Amino acid sequence: MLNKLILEKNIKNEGKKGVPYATEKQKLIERANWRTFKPVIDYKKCIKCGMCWLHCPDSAYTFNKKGFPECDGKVCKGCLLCVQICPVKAISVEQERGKK
Amino acid sequence: MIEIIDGNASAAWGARRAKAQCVPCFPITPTTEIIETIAAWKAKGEFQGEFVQLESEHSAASAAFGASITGARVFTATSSQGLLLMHELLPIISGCRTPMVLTTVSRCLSAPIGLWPDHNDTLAMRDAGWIMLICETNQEVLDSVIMGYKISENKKILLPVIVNMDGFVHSYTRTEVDIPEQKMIDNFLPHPELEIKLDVKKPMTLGIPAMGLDYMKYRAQLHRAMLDSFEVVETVQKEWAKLTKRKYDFVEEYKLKGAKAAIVMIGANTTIAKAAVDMMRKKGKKVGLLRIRLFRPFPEKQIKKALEKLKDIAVVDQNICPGMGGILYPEIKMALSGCKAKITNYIHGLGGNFVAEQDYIDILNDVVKNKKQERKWQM
Amino acid sequence: MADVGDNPMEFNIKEEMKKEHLITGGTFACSGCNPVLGIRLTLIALGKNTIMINSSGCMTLTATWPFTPYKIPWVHGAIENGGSVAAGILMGLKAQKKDKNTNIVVYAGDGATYDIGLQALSGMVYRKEKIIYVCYNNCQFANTGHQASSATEKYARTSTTPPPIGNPLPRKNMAKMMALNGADYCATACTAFPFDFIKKIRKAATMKGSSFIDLLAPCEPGWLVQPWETLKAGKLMVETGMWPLYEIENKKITINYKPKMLPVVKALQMQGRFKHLTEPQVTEIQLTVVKEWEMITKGRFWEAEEY
Repeated sequence: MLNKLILEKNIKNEGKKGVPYATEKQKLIERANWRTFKPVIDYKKCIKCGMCWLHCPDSAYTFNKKGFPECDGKVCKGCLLCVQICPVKAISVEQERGKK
Repeated sequence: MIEIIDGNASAAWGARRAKAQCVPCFPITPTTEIIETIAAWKAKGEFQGEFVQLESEHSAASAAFGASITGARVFTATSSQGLLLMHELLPIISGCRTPMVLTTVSRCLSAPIGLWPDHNDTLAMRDAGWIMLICETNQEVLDSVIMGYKISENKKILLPVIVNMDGFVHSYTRTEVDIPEQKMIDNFLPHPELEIKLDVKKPMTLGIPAMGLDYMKYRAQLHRAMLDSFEVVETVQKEWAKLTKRKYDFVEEYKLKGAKAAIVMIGANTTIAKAAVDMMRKKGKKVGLLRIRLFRPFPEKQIKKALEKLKDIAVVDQNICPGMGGILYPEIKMALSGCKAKITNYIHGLGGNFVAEQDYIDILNDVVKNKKQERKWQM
Repeated sequence: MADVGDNPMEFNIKEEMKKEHLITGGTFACSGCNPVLGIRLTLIALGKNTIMINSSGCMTLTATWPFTPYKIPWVHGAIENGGSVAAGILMGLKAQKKDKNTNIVVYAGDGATYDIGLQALSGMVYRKEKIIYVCYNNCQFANTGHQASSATEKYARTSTTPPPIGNPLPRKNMAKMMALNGADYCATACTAFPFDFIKKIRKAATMKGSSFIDLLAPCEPGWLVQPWETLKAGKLMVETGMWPLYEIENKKITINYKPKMLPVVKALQMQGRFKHLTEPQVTEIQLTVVKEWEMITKGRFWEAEEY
């Protein structure tokens, strides 16, 4: 059974919940399963220029306390634009493991 | 104060007294005078809101949507083809639950192009999720615009309102109208702050896509809100009656007590039909009239209550759904399902085709004789 | 203008890096999507006090109930009314005296700008509303499956202009059109040149009237390139001279970037949508581009016929 039959009078008017809107409080949707490849940063080569951060379409890059970029594996879709754009070639490509 | 003004001016006065903050608009006959009046007030400094003339009705409705989701009180008006051009936006506005009042001045649809009134334009919007008030007099137009805001901005329902009047018959006909005092309206109509709106301090994503079941839940909520709005409309009308002594209901019963035959209709021509009923009553005929004022949500119960004891009912439509008949007819039939009344459909007044008292007398006489309940056109 | 530091034109990437993302990940956008990058860059440029209006398109699906990636107010109306919804929002804010320090940005696709939404955009620009209109131009109706729009280049393959002929018509020039329409500031940009784009957005925010920015944003499935090649594809469009970067500020023209004038075949080769091109067609494109730049360098900008 896919759906249930509900009496119309039992549909509740939930006031503002009837307005289609969303706020950022909702949980982030993970996109890790979109990835075939992932970027790996070599911190020895990294010059903290921020180009990976600037060019990432999925806002995956944030900076840690030392100022190095970190790629958020939850949202990274593996487009590898950061690999292409890195001026010192500090980001390399790795195949996602454990994937069927 | 009592002034002699036409329907367009009444609507404009409604917007002025309600202190509409934004008036995005586009001219079309026979609505134009509404926006001209507001523009003139704006130029004189008598109207405080923003007034912008856009490049089409579609854009006017879009701007109305935009202005309303920032929390401003919005008024706009249109007719006929303009309303059809706006149509795309109407379900968006109601789906996003943005309150506003839109005055539609009924005018027949093209082609052939005409200027005079029938209700095909407004009734085409019946599935858009808007509350629809269809008026009979200029006074009712003014009152409905003000009441419309109170209904629309109610936190429980948050639905936009269409206030309809007939082109020319209302819009360019001057009658006595009691324009209420500003102070009284200010007390009656405070501007509640929207909880869900575009505000940089409280970021929200509006007009968001929803798929499948989520979509259906939103539509169910919209329908629910429409049904709940009966209660709101009733309270507002009662409150208005206390303030102004002008009583409005979902439907207006006219001499239905003891009547055996009756006319059911909407719009300005009701006034003529009422006169016809009076004339027949004088001759001892037991006839009456029911005018539907609140068209959406559809007051099924009230209609049934008013009409169930009648024998012959003439649903007089000033509109035509080609291939089906009058638009009002099936709705009345649905409301009266299970009743023994004989319901017959009459089409009249399309494109503003002139009607007089005798035409309604003819209909009332015919409805009793018309045993086969065949649809008839009066032309 | 709000929230962009003391000298808005100066873009300090180190400062910006410290700020939070105003659009998070987790959207439905394709891997390597440049239009989403365009939103990010716009929000980096303008900061928090921004209201974004979206016209139906790929970017509408970035938010899907109950999830939203936006940390700014965002609204979607319909496809053809980006300009007029924005005008309404501005009107609403003005009526409530909240319009100062708020940037209103329309972010619409090329189909919603060049084709169906032209009327609303033109009206908005005509009335000189203080709105920034960014068109993310991926040269096609990407969301519906890559059909041709009037931003599609000549000979490009789309699903409604299949090979061997491809699109028979050259594209419209929106930036020039809007400049003549009365926009205070018009510019072209490309996601592969983010600093240039950010600078242009910030400049647009300082204008009194409307501004229009045509942002070339390569589309991975539409241009038939690999996700990691999208920026390169955009860059090559600029470097070959096929997408000139310029700005028109109150009728004053500035060419922002002098391309290396690489042979156009380099840009065409890497995009699958140009794979079917014959040699004479490539030569025709090359000649058009060369002629165009000749005109531009001679100062006859308005006469230059763009590819």
